[in-house]
Amino acid sequence: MSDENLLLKVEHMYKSFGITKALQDVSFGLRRGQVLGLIGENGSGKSTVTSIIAALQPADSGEMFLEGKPYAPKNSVEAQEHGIAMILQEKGTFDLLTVAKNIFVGKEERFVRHGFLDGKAMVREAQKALDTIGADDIRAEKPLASLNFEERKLVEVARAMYNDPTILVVDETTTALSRNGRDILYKIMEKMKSEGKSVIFISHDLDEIMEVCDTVTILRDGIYIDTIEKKDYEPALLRRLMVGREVSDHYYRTDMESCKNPEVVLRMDHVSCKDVKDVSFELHKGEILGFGGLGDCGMHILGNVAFGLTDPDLGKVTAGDGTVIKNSQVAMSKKIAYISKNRDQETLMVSCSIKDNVCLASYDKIKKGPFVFKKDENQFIKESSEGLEIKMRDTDQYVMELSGGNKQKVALAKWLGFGADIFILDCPTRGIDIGVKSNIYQLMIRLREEGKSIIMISEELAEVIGMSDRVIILKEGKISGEFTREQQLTELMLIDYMV
Amino acid sequence: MSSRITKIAGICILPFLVFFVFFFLADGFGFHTVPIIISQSMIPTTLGLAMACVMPAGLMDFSPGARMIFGALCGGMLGNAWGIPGLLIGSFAGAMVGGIVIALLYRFLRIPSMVVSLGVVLVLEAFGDRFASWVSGSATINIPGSLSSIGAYPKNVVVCLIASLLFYYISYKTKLGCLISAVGNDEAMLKNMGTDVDSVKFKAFAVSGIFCFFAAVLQICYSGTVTSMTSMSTMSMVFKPMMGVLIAMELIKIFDCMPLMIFVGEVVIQTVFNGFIAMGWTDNIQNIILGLFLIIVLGVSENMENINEWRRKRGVRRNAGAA
Repeated sequence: MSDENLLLKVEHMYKSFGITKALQDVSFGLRRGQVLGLIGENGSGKSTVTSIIAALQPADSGEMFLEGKPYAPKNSVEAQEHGIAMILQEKGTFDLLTVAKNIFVGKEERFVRHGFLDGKAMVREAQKALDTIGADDIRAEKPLASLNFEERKLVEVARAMYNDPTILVVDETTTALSRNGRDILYKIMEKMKSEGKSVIFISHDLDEIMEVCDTVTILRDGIYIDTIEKKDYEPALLRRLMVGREVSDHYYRTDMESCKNPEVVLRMDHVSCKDVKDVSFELHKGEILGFGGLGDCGMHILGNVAFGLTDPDLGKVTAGDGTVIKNSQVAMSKKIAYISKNRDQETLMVSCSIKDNVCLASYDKIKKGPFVFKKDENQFIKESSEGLEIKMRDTDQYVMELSGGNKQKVALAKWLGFGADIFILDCPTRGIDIGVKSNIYQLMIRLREEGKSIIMISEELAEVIGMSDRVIILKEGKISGEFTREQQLTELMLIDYMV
Repeated sequence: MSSRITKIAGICILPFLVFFVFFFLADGFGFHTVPIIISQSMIPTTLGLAMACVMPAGLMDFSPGARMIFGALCGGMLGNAWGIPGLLIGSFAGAMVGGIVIALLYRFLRIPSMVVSLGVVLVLEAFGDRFASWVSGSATINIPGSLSSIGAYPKNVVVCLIASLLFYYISYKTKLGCLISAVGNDEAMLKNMGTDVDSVKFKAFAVSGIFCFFAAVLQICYSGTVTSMTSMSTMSMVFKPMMGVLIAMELIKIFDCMPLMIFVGEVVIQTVFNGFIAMGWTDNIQNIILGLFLIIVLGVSENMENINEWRRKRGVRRNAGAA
């Protein structure tokens, strides 16, 4: 790598959070016109190093060089002035502002004329920014609250691109985007490459990484492992470097047996609501029932309905003993657990500690008379999270400080400790690295063997096929196909029923 | 454009509807009460503007009443010495000092804004009381009619209008206005974007002092006299403006013009109060009805989505039953 072609150089970067060493002597370079993939398990330090590059937090030690000159931005504004923009994994927009104000938040002075903020000029310029990235169906004058999650992410993309950055950091953004949204982002990345600008791209989707990145840098436990050029890409090699051990392609169930238990534990009876039309099914004891379909086919709302969070317009959901699941309290009394696709907003209290999150549903179990003792809470957490290997400082650490995979482990620990018999898991491996993915699949297999029942809703057909005893495909809110576990079942067969 | 006008007209009709309810219910409640209602709405509206500077930033402030009274006492004292310039300078200095003290304490001591504002209420009330005793020998400061006329009806409407225009300018036409909403929305994210969040909050408190100044002028000019208050009694002056702001925060979802919506909210509340008085209801009953009124207004507006969803579901179930 010649030095004149090097745009950004990170050297000997260290960062710790308490006793957790997030980065240890990490060094790597980014060339002009390069899309550099940054991969690693959850908690490997990918987001930490990129947030230091974007000046969202400082490093403990280490140096950075931008175009050969020392680069040490004091804050994100300085980083932006140096041409570095970042699209975050988490929500990065303000619901109470308009789209235009979101794009120019903190930079409003550009539109101040004679002491007055020119709102119309701001809207015009914001619309131009949206049109430029290809998101022209989003109107700049609209309140952000009226947009869906994907559109909000595209507003963030427009904001990042407005300053024509030299380096764009894309941190796990594509999981929030549909095919169309991803295409918009890929086009931007292609254009930047052709203009000699560079992209740092973080994703847990290895196929996507191999498709869009020229080079991949692997981090593990905060340590730089290796950099692999595109010509040397091998999924097995990348996985091994990420996890530090051989990870097989086949981490799904290896048996081809479907559930034979006739005992019904949950029944959905002619349920219709906003996005779902006349859906009926039965979940049996010890069964993994997979739901697949396009993102907007209505399958995600089914999880809500089954847990009593959404009252169906028509039909009902009943537990095995006939109790109607009217709300989440009834659902929990029937030992039903639910992990939403929208983990941070609907499943976890991210501003609370790991202890609060894990114990909350089970205080009746933990308390002794009217008292709750700390040692009982800690014992409960230890038992609940056994085998999950949550990477944490201690149980008082805030959940918001954890990586995606560890957050998911906390959510699972909550329900395992609660002693749920029925698990409704909506996109259980979304935004999670292959190591944790494998752990979650193994956990599901173990739960199944223990006679627990699982509803798995997923947009990844491979995992639906790989893990389920039975697969139900939804199309436009209706059941379009139902399949029993068998060797011959392929993604292509299911896609026919989805579109 | 027509939809804008329809929305504004729809909202502005609200006080008229409330007015006509009492017009038909209460003897002696007629068109002659309109100037009284409007005049009485001016102080709560202006104080509401002060509160609306900090509430959208996610801050709670119970001190605008104390700042207003302290400003009015200072204005009264200097007004008696130097005429109108003294009244304005005294009111401004007195009203601003509280806001800046809260802002500094909040910024440097990191105490929750509500706690700081309660502390400032106690201190300003005590200072004001001492100050009034020192100046006039009693808890009251009077100003001559020539001075109080600048805040008498209909001039008080003009003062309130100036305050409202200033508020509109700050809220909608400056960077600070945008940032105040953004801070209230997600402080951590705004910090990550390189904005000095503490500075935004500091400015929000400081700017609210400007509106306490307008309210102080209106307060002392309303009757030409101002009496110091102690034992946190200025806090009770905050509740009516706060209700107006809460109503306004709902109304801006229909049409985004905060000062106009605060005015509409305060006029509605004032009309209801005057209506009750005309009907001869006691203070207790008035407060109960007003509390219920607030709960109903906010309850309905906060739950519009749920109400619509309930109606939609009822329709679907009815149709399914018919089929």
